[in-house]
Amino acid sequence: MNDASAVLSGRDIHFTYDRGANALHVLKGVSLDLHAGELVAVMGPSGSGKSTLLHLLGLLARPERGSVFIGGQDPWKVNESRRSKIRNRSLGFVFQFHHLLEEFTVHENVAMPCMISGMSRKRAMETAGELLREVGIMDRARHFPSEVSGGERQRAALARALVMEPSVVLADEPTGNLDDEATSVVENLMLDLARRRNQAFLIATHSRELAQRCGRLLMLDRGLLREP
Amino acid sequence: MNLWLVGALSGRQVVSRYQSGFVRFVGILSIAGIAIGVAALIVLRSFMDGFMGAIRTSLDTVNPPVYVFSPGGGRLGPADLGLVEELASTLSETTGAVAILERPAVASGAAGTVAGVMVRGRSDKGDGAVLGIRLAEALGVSGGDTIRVASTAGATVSGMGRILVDTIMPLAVVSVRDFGIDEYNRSLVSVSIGTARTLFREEQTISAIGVNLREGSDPVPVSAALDSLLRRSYVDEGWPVYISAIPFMAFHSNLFQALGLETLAMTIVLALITVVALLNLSSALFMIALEHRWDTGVLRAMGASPATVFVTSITRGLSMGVAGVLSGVALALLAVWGVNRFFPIRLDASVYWVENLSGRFSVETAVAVSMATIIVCLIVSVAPALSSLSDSPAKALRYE
Repeated sequence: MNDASAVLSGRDIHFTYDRGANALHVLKGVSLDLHAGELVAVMGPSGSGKSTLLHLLGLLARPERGSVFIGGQDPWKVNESRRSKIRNRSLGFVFQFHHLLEEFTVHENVAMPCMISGMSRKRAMETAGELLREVGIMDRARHFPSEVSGGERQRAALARALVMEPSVVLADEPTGNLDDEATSVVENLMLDLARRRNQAFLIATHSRELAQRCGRLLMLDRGLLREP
Repeated sequence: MNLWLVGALSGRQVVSRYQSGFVRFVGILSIAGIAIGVAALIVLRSFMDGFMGAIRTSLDTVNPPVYVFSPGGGRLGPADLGLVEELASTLSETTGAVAILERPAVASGAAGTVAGVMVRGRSDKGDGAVLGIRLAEALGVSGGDTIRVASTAGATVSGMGRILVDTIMPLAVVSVRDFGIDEYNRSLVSVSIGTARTLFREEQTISAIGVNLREGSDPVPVSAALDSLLRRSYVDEGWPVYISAIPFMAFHSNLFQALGLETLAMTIVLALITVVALLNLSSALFMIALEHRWDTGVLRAMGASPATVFVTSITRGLSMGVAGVLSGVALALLAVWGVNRFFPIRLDASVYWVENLSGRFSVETAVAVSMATIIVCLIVSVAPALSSLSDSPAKALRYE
């Protein structure tokens, strides 16, 4: 049964990478609940399946077995178009390598989820502008991703993840590619925004410092999620 | 679906400086291929249309658009002219009829130069003779000179073997004209029908009746209508002989059919070359889709639906096609104008009838070629668009 109060739930999630004779069973029955405003860190060695778990919880791939619930609803019971809307409205992603589209300015990148939702470009840019101010890179709005620093790119990626005010943000090693100074800025910003906006964050990380600053820590080991 | 986003995604990714140089090169190459194919098709049609148009215009200038004649070779008379005038006046597109008497003759000019000529007498011409430009050159005469024309109609051979012509008539050359068609330029002597009748001693005879039409009228339906009226007047009333009306171009239908076939064959060959360029577009779109596979994963993660990704990909193909088509049309316009203006093509008039080949850019042809190309662009964009949806967003995001 899924927890009705949870904004995101996973139940008995299994996933195998099909490589013929070398099939890799990375998740062997993972379950978790994420509540509004909760900050949860997931740690585990490389290849343990942290990114895969985030992709499955973020509806980017379908679990081989088990269920995912967003706001108590099973998104795999609706068609892909509806599922895309759920991804757009309820989920935000922050990736290790910012994943900003190089052909668009920082401002346009942040406005993109709003435009995907059908919002007019003008309104989307206004909404994105507010987020850019909040993450402190409004002065870099007109620059292209290649023209700003790694820390600024990741702040833009964070703004993009938050611009639709999703109930859950899934961050996959968000500071894994940054220097210490940028890491500190992005971590502080992320945790501060999460608390202020009462949004649930599930953060896959190798950083013990970041994990300790989150409210809850989970370890992914040999395909199972457990408290440390 | 935000149209700005779809347009920006498809447009910017085509010319993105962030994708590999090879993919960009292949993309530009496929746009260039489409442009060259479209330009080649339009240029071909422009010059073939220009060639056929020049012949038609020249024939139209010298000949009435509708010809009434006796298919059996019988001579026409004033009664026939009166009937044709009466019947033609019932058709709104006609402006009148002219009597024509046309016979071969021999003309001599300055210093004893002699040439075989075709004397054409028309009831709407004034006194004096108008000569084709090459004929005037051959006879060594110009406007204001006099030529002597001998009718061969009543020629006999004497017992001594000399040719005795019936009539020799001096004619004042009022002007020398380029009739456009080499055959006319080398042989035509245009005079009034009175002069022709005097020369050939045929007081009442008419060899054909020409019917003139209003500007822009199509001679084919008018000649069909007039022919039908003539049949009713002659055959249906029991007369053994009837006269027939046909568009003048029908005398040259074989030529135009042959040229039409040649144009069709060349169009097919060039269209196939354009199709190859469009297949190249498909390859380029596959490469761009592969190059932006990761971007597609990001877009899907942000909530872009498969329909949005598909439409974006199709728009990308369409925008490349439109870029190619617009460049091709511009290239064709430039090529036709440039050839006409700076590199005029001279033809051997004795072979091709006309001396200059000039292109006539046709908007209808350009629109037809462009629309057909864009439709094929849409079709070849479908497979790359589907390929961009073949991976789950997670798989696309792992692709780096």
